Amino acid sequence: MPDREQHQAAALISEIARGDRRALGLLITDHGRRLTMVATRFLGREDEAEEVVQDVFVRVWRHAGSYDPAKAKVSTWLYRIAVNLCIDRQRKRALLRLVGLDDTSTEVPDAQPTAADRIYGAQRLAKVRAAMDNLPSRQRMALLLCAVAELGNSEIADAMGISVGAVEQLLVRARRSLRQISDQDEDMMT
Amino acid sequence: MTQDKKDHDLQIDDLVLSASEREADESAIFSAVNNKLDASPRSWFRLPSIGANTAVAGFAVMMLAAGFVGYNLPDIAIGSTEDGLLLLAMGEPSLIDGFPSVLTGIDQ
Repeated sequence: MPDREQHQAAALISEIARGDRRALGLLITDHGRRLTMVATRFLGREDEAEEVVQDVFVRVWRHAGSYDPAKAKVSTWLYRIAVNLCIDRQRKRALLRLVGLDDTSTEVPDAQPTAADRIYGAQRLAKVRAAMDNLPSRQRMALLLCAVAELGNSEIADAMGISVGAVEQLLVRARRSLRQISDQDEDMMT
Repeated sequence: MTQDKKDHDLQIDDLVLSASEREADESAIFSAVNNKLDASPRSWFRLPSIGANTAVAGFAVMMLAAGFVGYNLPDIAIGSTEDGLLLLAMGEPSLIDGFPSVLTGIDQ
């Protein structure tokens, strides 16, 4: 996040801390879509992802006064909240599945074909999505924070509460798994 | 080679980004967030939040304590031999040990 954007975002947080709902709306406009993409791809369910994103901004509203720009960028802070909420959801779902109460009927299939589908091919992207779903959770989250949220390795480390070295390892492994899928598809196309 | 590797990583990241594409209605998010904020109780009325595990553990301790007290209180208070013998019969001498006989009602 460039310095100017961080400065503007920090100013929004200050306004939110003073009770400005309009500033909260602006923050949602700036970050809502990417947060939704990360949460959706991590959890695999659009409805849960939407709940998580809403809860991120509820927490932002409630804790804006405690945000310290010297400690983390706004984007890092947002994604740290999102990571924790996503993990909580995942654990809750695992517990419900254990006792047979997980409602899989609410799972939403992949969205309507996007422009990316037309460029890369819907089938290829479906394979990539399936491969991402099969990644270990930490690898999937690290990759999403890198590729979708466009966080740097140190920011990812901060958001996930791990070391930078651990982030690098997670990214290497995640990309290696996806590269196998990508290379297979390219071989088929040539 | 380092640059090739980096380009390869970027290619994967681009695929991931494309595979993650989805629309998001920011105004709907804002509306939902406002509803949640407006629905939450006022801070002065809000109970302190405690973890579910702590709540369950606390409740269990309370029940055990209440059970212990309730189980023993009649015998301690009344000091009847009958109740004391009942405790013994139920195999709970440890609940009687340490109590003066006048309280347990058991003639030593």
